[in-house]
Amino acid sequence: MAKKNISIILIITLLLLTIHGAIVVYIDPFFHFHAPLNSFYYKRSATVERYTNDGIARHFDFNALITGVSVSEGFCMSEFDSLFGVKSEKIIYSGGTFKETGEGISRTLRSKPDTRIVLCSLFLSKLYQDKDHRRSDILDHPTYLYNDFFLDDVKYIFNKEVLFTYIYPMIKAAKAGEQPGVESYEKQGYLHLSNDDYDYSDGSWVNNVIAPLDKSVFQDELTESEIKNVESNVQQNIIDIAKRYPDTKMIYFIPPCSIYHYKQMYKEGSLVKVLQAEEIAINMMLKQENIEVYSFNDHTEILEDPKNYNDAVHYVGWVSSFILQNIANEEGKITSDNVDEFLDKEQSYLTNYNY
Amino acid sequence: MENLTVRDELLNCFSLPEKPFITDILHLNPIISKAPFVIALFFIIMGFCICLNHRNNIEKKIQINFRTSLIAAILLFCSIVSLGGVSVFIYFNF
Repeated sequence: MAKKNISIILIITLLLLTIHGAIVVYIDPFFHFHAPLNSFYYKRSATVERYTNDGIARHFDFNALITGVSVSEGFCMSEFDSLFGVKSEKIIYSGGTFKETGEGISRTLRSKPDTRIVLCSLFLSKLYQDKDHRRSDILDHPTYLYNDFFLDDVKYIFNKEVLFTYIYPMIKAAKAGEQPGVESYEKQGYLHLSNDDYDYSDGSWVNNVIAPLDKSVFQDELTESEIKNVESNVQQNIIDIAKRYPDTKMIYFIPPCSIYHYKQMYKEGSLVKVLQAEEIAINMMLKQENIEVYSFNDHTEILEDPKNYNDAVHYVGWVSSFILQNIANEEGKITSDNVDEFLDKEQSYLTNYNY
Repeated sequence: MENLTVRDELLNCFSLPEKPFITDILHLNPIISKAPFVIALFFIIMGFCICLNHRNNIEKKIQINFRTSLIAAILLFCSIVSLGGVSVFIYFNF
């Protein structure tokens, strides 16, 4: 009797799990198993981009990649495509680390080795983090979606939140006759600004941080272990990948964050550290033939005007366009010939600025 | 009476991922939109019913039959699919 009932319990549970799993695999809102179906509209919510990025990398059709942290979000893909003659896709890791962007680039190039260009941000303050560091404030990094091991996909397949929060609205929308397709990341400007309430591009955000510092702050230098972190971070997450795909042009750009971003670093005493890390990273990267490095920190007229930003880090749409056009014209490019001059000038400007 | 208002954050704790599906199926959306506390109230009443209307499990002899097996299977399924979630990234602290 007990055996019979246990069998009933197991059979019914397996049946329900199979139905649940089949729906998730068939519709696949995170593109893990296949490209989007033609009968549903797939939203690409910025809040779950870490779940969708790997699937997009493997199943979407493109030959150029725009990636990096949120400072890469604002690039207009059609502008990028027309400037570089490619078909691009955008894979963003908001607030991400070099481990995440490196992993994303590596996974993309593995499935698309013919990728012509990778455009990625080089966010300086993350350079001296551990080479395998991921944000600790994200409860669950969906690394089970980044590997080829199918058994850990159960976390995706048997997940009621995927079914009810992501798949159910898709089915409902399809039933209501909504046009199928995939949400585009074409939009220029900072993607998280989906609501005008959060648009501070009038420069009003600066009111909270504009007060000048009343005293100078001692600036720490990189420790031995932090220097090793920079070297291993750059080696593992940038150079090793570039070496594996010598035909892909890897363009790294230092985002022109506002002077108030550097003010924050100065306040924390980490500005010199960041600049030292930048020097180590750039010198390592310039030795790799297929890596190009760009910086726009010498455009002080951009950095010092709060109207060019939505907050201390994120610039408005025209700055993103400015970056793309400059890169296309090879302006702002750091080479082994001008690297010392560039770094001296930048260091002098940022360390002597009256914060 | 204002001080007796339940905060939205507390009510949201009772809002499970399957809520939209269930409210759509049962056509409860007009009620929920007017009285969002209904779900919390339902959970509290259900909780009281389960606690107060049943004998202690130690005292109770459980009958194993198809009905209880079916309930057990559904609860096992619900437990398994509730193990994982989706960590939404809220952007702050760059």
